[in-house]
Amino acid sequence: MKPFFFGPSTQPRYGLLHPPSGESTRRAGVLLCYPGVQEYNISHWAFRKLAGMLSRAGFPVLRFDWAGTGDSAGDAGASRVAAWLEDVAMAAQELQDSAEVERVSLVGMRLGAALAARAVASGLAAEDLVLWEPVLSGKKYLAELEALDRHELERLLHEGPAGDAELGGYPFSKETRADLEALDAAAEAPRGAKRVWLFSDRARPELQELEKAWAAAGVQVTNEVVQDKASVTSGGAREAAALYTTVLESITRRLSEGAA
Amino acid sequence: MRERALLIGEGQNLVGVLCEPEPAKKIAGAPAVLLWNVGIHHRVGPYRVFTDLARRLAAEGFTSLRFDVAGQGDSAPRRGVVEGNTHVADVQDVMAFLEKKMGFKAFVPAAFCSGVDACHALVRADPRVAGTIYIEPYAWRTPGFWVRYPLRFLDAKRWKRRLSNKQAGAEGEKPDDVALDPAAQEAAQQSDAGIVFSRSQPDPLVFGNEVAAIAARGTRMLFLYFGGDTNVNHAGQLWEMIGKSSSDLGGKVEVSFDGEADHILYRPADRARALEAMVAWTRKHFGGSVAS
Repeated sequence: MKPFFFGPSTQPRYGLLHPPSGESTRRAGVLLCYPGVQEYNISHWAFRKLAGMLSRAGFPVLRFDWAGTGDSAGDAGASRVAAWLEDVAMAAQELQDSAEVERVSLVGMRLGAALAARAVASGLAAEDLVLWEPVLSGKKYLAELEALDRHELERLLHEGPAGDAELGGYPFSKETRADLEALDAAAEAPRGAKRVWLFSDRARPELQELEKAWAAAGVQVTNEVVQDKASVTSGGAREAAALYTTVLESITRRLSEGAA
Repeated sequence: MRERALLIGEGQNLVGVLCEPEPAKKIAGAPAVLLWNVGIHHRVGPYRVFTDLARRLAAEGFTSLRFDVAGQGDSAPRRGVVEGNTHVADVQDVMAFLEKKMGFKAFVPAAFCSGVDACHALVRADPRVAGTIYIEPYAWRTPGFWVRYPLRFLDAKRWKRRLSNKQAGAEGEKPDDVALDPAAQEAAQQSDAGIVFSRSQPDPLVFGNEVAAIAARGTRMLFLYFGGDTNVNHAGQLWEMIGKSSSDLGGKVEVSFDGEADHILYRPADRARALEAMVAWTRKHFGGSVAS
């Protein structure tokens, strides 16, 4: 395991490279894309577990903090979707350079899935693209975060909602809000991926529609429902996201089946 | 400010981020500030509060290291067995690294909520600790707390939450209790063994004697308490809890109470005030002079 900073020295990003530790070494590395800052902390442990599973399956794995989150440089309130898309491309290149692999697969969760898909649709070549509980509509995603925000503010005895300048406990700029409102997964098919996997914990009609739309666009896409004991989307039990196991095993299995 | 990611410890198992001021701003002889996990959060802390604290301190000339204890966050488990508290052993590994590689002789560990367990054990045992910050540490309901407790009925936000919970069906909570009587709600949860997270606390008077011994050694302490549904509802409650006054402790122990903030510092403005309190305290006591 190697923690390091990468990217421009004025705005370094934090990354953690897990070298392959299994018997076989794969020729593709796996880039893990965390959810957005509001869901980052509750998913950190699950991402660590997933990185360990993939590493033991022979993959070099890089997980990294988006600009303005975790240990990366920048303020959460000032971060923009365009910068995060640059992060995906930069981190993918860093993984290829650090692990000396030619090909990269991406696993993204929630907003991280939407950003990974957009990066691949914009030209990033990917072996496998795994979209785990992906955000499909930026507007719907913001509405979910706003509902959680109202609940938290009330639970913690604060006046609320806090207005447009904050969301989910973090500063939140108008520009970032506008960026996210414009996110629409169906708008562009991620044709740069050889295979696309959609993972969710229940049958979601919108994912089934997306599967059809992307398949019609020539993308090899599979929609899988994997029920886990925890879910980041299940309201009050969000802290239980640390306990994800079943879906992590499914993701590892799918990536292992497809990769050399 | 510059940051470096590091592997620390005999087994290189601890992952940390060293945050240093610009060389021209570095304060000569200042202690290094140590930050680690809060509950299930990794080293960045809830709402990234420890990343922000580290960067604020660097702007003031202080070096800090935020890290994950063994087996949590990004850190790998420790190999072998240690005597006593393993988290204390991890913190001492980090102190040894900073002493050997960077020449630090004094340290200021800052711990939040459950992190105070290891921090307090470390502070009691290790004379290299020049100061320490306890954020939402142990708290006991004193007679004064109960005298002030009825004032919650004057809080419109509690009535609003009670009404809202009734409308929402309250998700298994007792809406009257959680909104207007959090102490009863907590007791009910504990008796049902349904509480998500609870931990034991030391005896308050024993804790007070330990604080007195730490202060007598010359180590400074800052206690931060917040309002909300916690067990503290007054800035002076620490002295009631431990049976000692500020002057009993030679002025070495200070309290910052923010009744508007909640336990997890959800709102950015609340975090900003807490950060300012910690940075101001560190500057006041350890500011010294800039290294030449």
